[in-house]
Amino acid sequence: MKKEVLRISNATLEEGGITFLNNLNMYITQGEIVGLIARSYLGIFELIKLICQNTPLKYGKVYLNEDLVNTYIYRKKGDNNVFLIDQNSRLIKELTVSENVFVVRKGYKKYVVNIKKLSKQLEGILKELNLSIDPKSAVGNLTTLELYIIELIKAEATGVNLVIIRNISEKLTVSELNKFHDIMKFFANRGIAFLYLANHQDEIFNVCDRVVLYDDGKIVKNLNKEDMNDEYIKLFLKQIKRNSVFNGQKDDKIIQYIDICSNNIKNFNLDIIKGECLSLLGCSPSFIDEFINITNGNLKLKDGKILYNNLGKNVKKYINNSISVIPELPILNGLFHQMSYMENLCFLVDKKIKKSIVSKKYYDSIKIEFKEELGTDIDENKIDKLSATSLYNIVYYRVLILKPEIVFIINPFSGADMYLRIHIAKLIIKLKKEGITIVLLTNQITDVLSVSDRSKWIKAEK
Amino acid sequence: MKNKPYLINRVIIISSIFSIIIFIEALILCFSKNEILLDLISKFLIVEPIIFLSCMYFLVIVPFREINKVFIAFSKNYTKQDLFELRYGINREHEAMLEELNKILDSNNIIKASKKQAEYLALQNQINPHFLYNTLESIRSEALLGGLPIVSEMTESLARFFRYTISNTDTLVTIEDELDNVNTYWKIQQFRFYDRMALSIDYSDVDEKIIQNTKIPKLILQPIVENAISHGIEPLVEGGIIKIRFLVTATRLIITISDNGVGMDKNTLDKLNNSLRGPRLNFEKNNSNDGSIAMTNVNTRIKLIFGDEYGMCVYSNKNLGTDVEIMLPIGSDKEYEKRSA
Repeated sequence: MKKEVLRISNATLEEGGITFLNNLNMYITQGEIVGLIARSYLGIFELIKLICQNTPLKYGKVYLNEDLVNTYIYRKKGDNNVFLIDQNSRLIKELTVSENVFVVRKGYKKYVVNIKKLSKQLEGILKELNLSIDPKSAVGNLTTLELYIIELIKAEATGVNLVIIRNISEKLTVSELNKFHDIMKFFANRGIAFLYLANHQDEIFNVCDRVVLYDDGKIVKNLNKEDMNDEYIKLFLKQIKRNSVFNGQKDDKIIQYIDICSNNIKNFNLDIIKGECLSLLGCSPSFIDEFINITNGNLKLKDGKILYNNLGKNVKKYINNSISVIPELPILNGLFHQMSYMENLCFLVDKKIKKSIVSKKYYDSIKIEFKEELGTDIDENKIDKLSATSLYNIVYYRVLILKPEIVFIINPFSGADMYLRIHIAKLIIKLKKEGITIVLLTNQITDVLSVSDRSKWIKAEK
Repeated sequence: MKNKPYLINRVIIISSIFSIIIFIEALILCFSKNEILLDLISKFLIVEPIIFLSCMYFLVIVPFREINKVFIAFSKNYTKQDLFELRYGINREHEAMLEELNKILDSNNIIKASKKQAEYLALQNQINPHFLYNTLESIRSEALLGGLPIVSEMTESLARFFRYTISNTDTLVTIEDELDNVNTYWKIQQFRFYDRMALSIDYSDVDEKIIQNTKIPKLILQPIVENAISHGIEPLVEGGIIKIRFLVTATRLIITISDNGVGMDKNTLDKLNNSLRGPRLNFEKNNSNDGSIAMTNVNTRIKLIFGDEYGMCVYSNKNLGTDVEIMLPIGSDKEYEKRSA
C-alpha cells in the first residue's frame, strides 16, 4: 500500500480579503505523478507556497508524509522537505554540477568537500539515466533540459518525497520534454511523487498517473487514467477555437530568409507570406533571440541574405516602422507600470505619426476609437490594479495602433491560464484580421496551432 | 485536559514576577546609594517593558489566538474534535465547562441519533420491520404463484434492502456487505429506470482481502448512490452511469462515487462542501430535500467515529457530473466498535 506523501484537507487560504484557496482537498501518494491543469491561476502560487512553506491557513490541514505540518491552529516552522522546479533554475551557475547537487543543499554539514567522490557518485546516477553531463562542468554551461534534470537529481539527493514541477514545458522543445518525462518516470519508480503543473492535457496525459483540474482555489475534478482522453477533458476545459482567416496571396512574400547562417543558426530558409499567421515551433530561447536580432538588423549574418520585399530606400527605417516584436510575458516585459493606460497604449505612436510631441487631440481620438472595445480601463491612471486580460489588451492594441507590416510574438501563451490563453488567441486573430502578418515563435504547439495558418518546425536551428 | 497550561495562570505568573522585580527596583532606587547598581537598574528599566511584552505576546497572546481560531471554527461547524484537543486552556473553570460540553456533545449519542436518521431517510416513515418483511414475503409468494417472476424478484430485492437497512444499524459491515446492499438497491432502481442507468464498481486496484475484511460504518454508500440517481442522473433524459472506485493508501481508504449527471453550480457546491467540513451537530434542524441531508449525515457519522481528518468532499461541475469522495481510515475497526458500542 502506498504512503500518502501529501494530503491537503479542506484548506482555505485568504490574504488581503481575497480567497486564494477555497476548501481545497487533494492527495498525492508515493511514486505518483499527479498532473494539475489550472483553468484559472488564482491561488496556484499560494498553493505551491502552502505546500513548500506552510503559509498560515484560515481553515484546513496539510499533511506531509502523513505528518500534520500545517493547520489553521498552528503550523510547523520552516520550509517543508518539498522540491520545486520552476521555469527559472535555482542552481548556482558558477558552481559545478556535483557541487550544486551535493553541496548546495539543506543539511550538508561537511567542511571538507571531496569533489572527486561527489563527482563519482553523480556519474553513477547520470549513467543510469543515460546522460552525458560532466559532473565537473559549470552549471552555467548546461542546456535548459540538463538544468531541469540536474534539479531532479538534486531533489533525490536532498531526500525529498515530493517534487513540484511548474510549467517547464514553456522552456523545452517537444523532444526535450519527452526526455524529461522519461526521467520523471524513472524517479517516480524510485518513490518520488510529483505534482506536475502544466496548461495542456496532451503534455499532462503523457506523463501523469492522475490529473486534477483546478479552478479558482479548489479542485473541481479528479481524472483517473481511464478518464484521460481528449474527448472527456474537453468537456471541462474551454479550447481555443480553430480560426483561419488567411485570404492573402501565397506568392506575396513579405520577408524571405535565404540560406542564412549566424552563430547558432545554420542554413535557415523561410518565406513569410503577407497577411498570414505563421508559427515557428520548437524554437529554443537562443534561436528566438538570434532570429529576432537578425531580422531587426542588429546581428550581422555570416552567410545568406534576407529579402524585405516591400523595402523602400532605407532598410533601417523600414525595419523600425514595419516590424514589431511582442516579447514573452509582455505584462512584465512590455509595459511601463508607472505610466497610465493611455500612455502605455500610445507608446511609440510618436514615431508612427513622425512627431516628437503627440497632441492631446490624437490621444482623444484613440480613446474614442477604442473605448468601446477596451472598456473603462482605458481611463486608468495606474495599470497595476488592472486584470491580466486588460494588460494584454494594452500590448496587442498598441500593435494594432502602430499597425506594423509584421509582428513577431514570442511564446504568446507563456504563463497564461486557460481563460487568458483564450483571450490572447482572440487578440492574435484580431491582429490577423487587420491585415498584420504574424510570426509566432514558440515551443508550445496546441494553442499556437489553433491560431496559425501555417507552421514550421525548427529542428536544431535549421 | 488536566495537564494543559492555563493562560490565566501565565498572566498571573508573568505579572507577579514583573511586579516583584519592579518593587525591588523601586526599593533599590529609593534606598541604595551604589551608583553602579543604580545605573544598571535604570538601564534595565528600559529593557524591562520589552521583555514583559514579549513574554505576554508569546506565552499568552499567541496561544489565545490559537484557541480563538478553534472557537471560530467550532462556531461555524467546521470542527468538534479540535475544541476538545486544544493545546492550551484559558482557566480551570473554562476547561470544566468544555469537559461538560464534551459530555453533552457526546459522539456516541450523536452517532446513534445520526444512525436513526439514516434509517428514517431510507424509509421516510417508521415502519415495523417484521411486519414489512412478512408482508413483502407474502407478496413474493403470491407473485410466484401467480406466475409473475419479475414482481417476485422485485419484492425479494426490496425485502433484502429493507432488512439490511433496518436491522442491526449498530454493527460494522464489511465493504463487501455494503456493496451487496448497493447492488440490491441498484436492482430495485433498475426496475424503474431499465437501461437508462449503469453502475460500475471498480476495486481492481485494491486487494480483495481488504474488500472482504475491512469494516466500514453501515449505510454510507447507498445514500450517496441514491443521491447520485435522484439528483444527478434522474433529471437526464439520456440516462447516465454511476462509478464506484476504491483506492487504498497506507492509512486511508478512499471511495469515490461518480456520476455523469447534471452536477451542481458553484454556489451550491461551495455551500455543500462547507457543510461537510465538520460534523453537523444540529442535524435535526436540516429539513432540506436537496440531497445534502444524506451527505451531511454520512459525513457526520464518519467524522464523529473516526475524527475530523476523515469524511467526505464533493467535486462537481454544472452539467458534467459529480464526484463524492469518502475518506476512511484503514484498520480501525476496534476503535469504531469501541465508540459505537
